[in-house]
Amino acid sequence: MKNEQRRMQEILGKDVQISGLVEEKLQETYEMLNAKNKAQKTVQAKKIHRYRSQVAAAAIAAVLLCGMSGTVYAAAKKGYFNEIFGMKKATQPETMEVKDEEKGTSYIATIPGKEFAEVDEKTAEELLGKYSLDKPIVRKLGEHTLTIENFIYDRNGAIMYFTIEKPGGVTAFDWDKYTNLTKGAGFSDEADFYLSCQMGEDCTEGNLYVDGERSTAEKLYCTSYILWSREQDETEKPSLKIEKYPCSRGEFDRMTEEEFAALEVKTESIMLGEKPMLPANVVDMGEKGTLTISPFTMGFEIGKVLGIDFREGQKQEDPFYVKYVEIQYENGENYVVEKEDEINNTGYVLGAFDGYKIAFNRLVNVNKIKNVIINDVTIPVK
Amino acid sequence: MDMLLVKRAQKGDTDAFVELIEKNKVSLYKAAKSYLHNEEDVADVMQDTVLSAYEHIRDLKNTLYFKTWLTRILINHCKNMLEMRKRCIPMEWAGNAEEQAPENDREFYELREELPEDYRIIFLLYYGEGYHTNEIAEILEINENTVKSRLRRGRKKLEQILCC
Repeated sequence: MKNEQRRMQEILGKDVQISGLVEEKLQETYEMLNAKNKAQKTVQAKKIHRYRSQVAAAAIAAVLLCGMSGTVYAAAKKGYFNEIFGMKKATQPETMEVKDEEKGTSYIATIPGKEFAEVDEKTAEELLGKYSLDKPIVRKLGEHTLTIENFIYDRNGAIMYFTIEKPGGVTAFDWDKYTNLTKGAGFSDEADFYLSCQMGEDCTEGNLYVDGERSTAEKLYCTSYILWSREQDETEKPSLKIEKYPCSRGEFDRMTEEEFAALEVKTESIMLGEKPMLPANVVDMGEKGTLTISPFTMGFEIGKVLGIDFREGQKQEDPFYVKYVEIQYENGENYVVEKEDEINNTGYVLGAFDGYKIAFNRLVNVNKIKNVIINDVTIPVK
Repeated sequence: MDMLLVKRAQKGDTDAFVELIEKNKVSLYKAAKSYLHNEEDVADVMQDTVLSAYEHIRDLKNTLYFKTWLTRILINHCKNMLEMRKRCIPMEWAGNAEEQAPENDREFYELREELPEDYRIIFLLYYGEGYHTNEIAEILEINENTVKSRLRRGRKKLEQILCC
């Protein structure tokens, strides 16, 4: 290397001083993250382990389903749309005091309520049938058995309905009714595997909802609401990435860097895109951009829809700009998707690189929508 | 590498996440300064990057690529910021760089002032951060040959300056 190039390395590689303004902003950001984390920990402290103490004689349905033909499964699957989108137990908005012990202060956090809706199986079959799996996918993950009952995907995201079973009790997930209302269930320290969904460059585990009414200690009924950070097209096919570890995830923390690097992780990729991408309706709103809506997702650009002037340095993808979302049907019925602090009838919300995305917590009949309302903006949908 | 820190952060350990950001903040700052002139914009982009990374860290598949992934998020936010402002704001190093930059950093800002704006981030990632040309192409979503040709052209110019 020439001396001049060494000099470039020296000059461009040296640390520069970060301005006070940026340092302050970083500290403010860390405080935001800590507050968010503390709120979640407080929620987790209320965990209900009822499901662990239940002893149920759960049949190993996955083993039986594994041997079914596609035709038989298609008949048997009647009803599973109701499992994905159907009625679950509604919750009321809840407030709780979150204490910041370091500062000796506290604040009130609000968890909005959730409502669900019954699903019309005939409409679900019409809208989703040909985009649904013909037969379940079953994998043994150590002592757990994973059965993917259905997977449907569109340009904004995907929905995966699956069960996870383990004789003696499922230990792979940390979940309770509060995770269903907030950030979703997560992999526990005892889990010896990890699942994520890949679509193009996106790789996400989504927001995991566990049906506490139906689940038992040995079998959990789960819906994963997945949103891509960037809008995808038909050229991409989704897959489930599985990592199987020789130890539990909790043991990672006690390992040295060398031990961790030497871990033999087995990986497997399961193709989930055997069926075509579910089409979405695209509404051209002119200056307000486009709204894409499918039976289970919606996406739009916050700035364009709400006419916010982001030149003031505001954040375009910040979900907090969206206070109210409603879908109005032609027959006068409506679906309130979000109402600030009061209602959160979503499966997942993502402020992503190219806009705001919502995974619905119920089936939306896109053929019957009259309007979509975002804050005070009414968007006619044909 | 900070693989364990990344794994901890992926499991929701905010302290581990903050430690990762602290370790990488200077690199992020330098990259943001390649795109943005206004210090408030740099601060906003840094904050957006940290919040996006925190939100999506569980989606990072390979912990080895944390820094690359983080840099890419930052660059996307920088591009978004420029797009939002509907006007490209190049680093106007000349005139105010010497006034505003701390004395110790003057060489850094002066050297980069000599480069066309499209070349700055490439030089920073290559010489400053030690990325390979294929990695830079991936981060910036451009052709590797473009990276190589810009390095070649920019190098000639900088070599003339540095040898004087």
